[in-house]
Amino acid sequence: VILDRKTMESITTGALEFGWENGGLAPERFTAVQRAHVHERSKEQPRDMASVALDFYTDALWLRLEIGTRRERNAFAFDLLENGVLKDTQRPVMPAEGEEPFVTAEFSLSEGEKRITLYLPWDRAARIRRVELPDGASLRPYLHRRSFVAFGDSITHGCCATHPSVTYVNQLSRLLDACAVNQGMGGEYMRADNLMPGTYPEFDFVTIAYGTNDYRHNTAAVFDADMPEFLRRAAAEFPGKPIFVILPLWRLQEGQGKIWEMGRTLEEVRACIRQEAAKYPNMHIVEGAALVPHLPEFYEDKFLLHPNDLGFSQMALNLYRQIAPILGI
Amino acid sequence: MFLSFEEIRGLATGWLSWQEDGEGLILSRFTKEQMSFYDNNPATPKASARQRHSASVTLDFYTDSEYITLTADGSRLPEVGNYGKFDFLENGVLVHHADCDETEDPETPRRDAFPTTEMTVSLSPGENRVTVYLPWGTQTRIRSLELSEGAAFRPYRHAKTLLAFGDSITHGSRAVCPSMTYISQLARLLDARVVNHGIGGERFRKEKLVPGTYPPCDLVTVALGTNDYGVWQDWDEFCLNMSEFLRIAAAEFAGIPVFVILPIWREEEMQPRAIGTLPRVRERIRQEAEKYPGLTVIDGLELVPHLPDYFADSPALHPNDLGFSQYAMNLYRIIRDKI
Repeated sequence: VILDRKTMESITTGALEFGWENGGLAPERFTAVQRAHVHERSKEQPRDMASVALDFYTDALWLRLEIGTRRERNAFAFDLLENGVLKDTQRPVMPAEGEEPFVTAEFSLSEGEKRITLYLPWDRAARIRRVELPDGASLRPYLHRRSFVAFGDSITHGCCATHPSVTYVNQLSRLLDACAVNQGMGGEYMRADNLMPGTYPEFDFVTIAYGTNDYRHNTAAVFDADMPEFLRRAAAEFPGKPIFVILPLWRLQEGQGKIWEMGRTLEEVRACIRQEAAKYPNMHIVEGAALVPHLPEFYEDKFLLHPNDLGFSQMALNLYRQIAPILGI
Repeated sequence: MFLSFEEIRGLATGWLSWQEDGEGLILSRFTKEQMSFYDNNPATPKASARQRHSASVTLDFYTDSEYITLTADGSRLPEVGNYGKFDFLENGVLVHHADCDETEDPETPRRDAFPTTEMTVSLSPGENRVTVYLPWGTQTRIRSLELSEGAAFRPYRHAKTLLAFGDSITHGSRAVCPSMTYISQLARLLDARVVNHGIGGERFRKEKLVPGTYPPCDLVTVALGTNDYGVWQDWDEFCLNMSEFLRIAAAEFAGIPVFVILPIWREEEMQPRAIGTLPRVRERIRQEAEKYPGLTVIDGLELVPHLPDYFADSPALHPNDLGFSQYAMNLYRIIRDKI
């Protein structure tokens, strides 16, 4: 059976809106209004499938997927989890020039009813052209216990996970049984317009993880105006909900005492955010330096900036330990 | 300022017995009585040595010291390779990893000890919780522990105690970082101190559970079976040892949650061995454990991804640090509501 659009939407998590483009379902983790306010440097990123997944129960023995996507990059992956554990990863190769820009993937599934979670690539826009299960297979959406929205930069976006299921947002999502809407974009600052009032559904909690790009690339004047405004908007938009403000992770250059145009150390940037967030009773500070081990083995790049899959696992576990008690878990 | 061995013992967790041999302090995760089965069996020299490894033994304490200097060596044990890797965590996050194996002669293909090594880690200002994981893969002798002159120190008190029975995977093999074994990560999630009774190569052996010798604990995990599949030659002998082990466990830990973790996925699990395939072994353990209301069965297939990227060896058998992270996270998700 080939799922119709309505059924596909019912099992897709992580989207705020759905469109239909080039013969496929287009899950959007940013609304059209939000996308209109994205900074020029980040224009391509809101349509990436970070934390978008198909999440459902089925007794099917196989699943076929056809995804339309951009052509420019080849290293992207689909992760299939059964009952919460990764069982298969497929990295389809994009067709050669001149062919239709879509890929197919087929997954074998275990016997009996199980929960299937199929993560789409974090680093690629995708149109779900076809989801097919055996005729007569059962299908019902998985319903999470809670939901959250994750604001942030490339680390929240998922860079540079080799498996989409292991980004810290997705691992935290599984630990908390929470549906995640991922509003991470690589290179982003804590820019006021990254939070557009009145464009969000209700969430149970919020995470905010900016600051490392402000430290490296922003100016003090822009940061000092934008950061308080972003937090003010967050407090107003999500009143009474726990908002976890994750201070920047440890990075190699901070230990070397590097200072750029902003003229502040990363610890000073942390202090600014900490001081501002303390004004709001529903904001909880998470010490980012206590999330990922301060060792090269846990990072993807030579600057020790982006956690790798192992670093993301530690980030999710340590983040969970800090926020679960506040959520009453 | 140097701490006395008595003070060091007071900061340490995961040990059930100790000895001072004139050169240092050795903390053991087994009692002499618990070790006697392998120590008295000349056919099991590897197990006898491995049960002396310092798996899940930690120094865990608060201090306002500016630094910590730990000096230790890996005692020379026969028959088994040793892995002298230490982790230093500050307030729960790994800040320093010391690989004492690297101090060995690189020309030596198989090291069986690491020499006396001094490890110093600077600490952040103010009071911090410091957790030092001793190597999972060698017997560690602590020669000294030094803090800043006049520094305060007091032990960290965990909320729970976890007793873990198992094989090499519970022991910690092949974690690069001792703090990354699944049992270490699970313990941090549960705020539990661990008494690790995992031994590389271990099977269900009825003699290995010694009633009346265990400390009070809040939960117990039993993770055996993959070596039973690989080593036992006789199905009935396996069934007898497994069922007796579980019967003793159910009686010994009555009233305490006991989680029987069925073998995790391994690449060659469908390959028939003398007693059949691993799924057959898994199913038999499940049937037996389900006879006891105090035992909760956990499907090991739902713990570690079934992909080689998550394992340290080929064919896939032992999770790597990433696989251990997934193991701990998934196990925690299953048991957190049951304790």
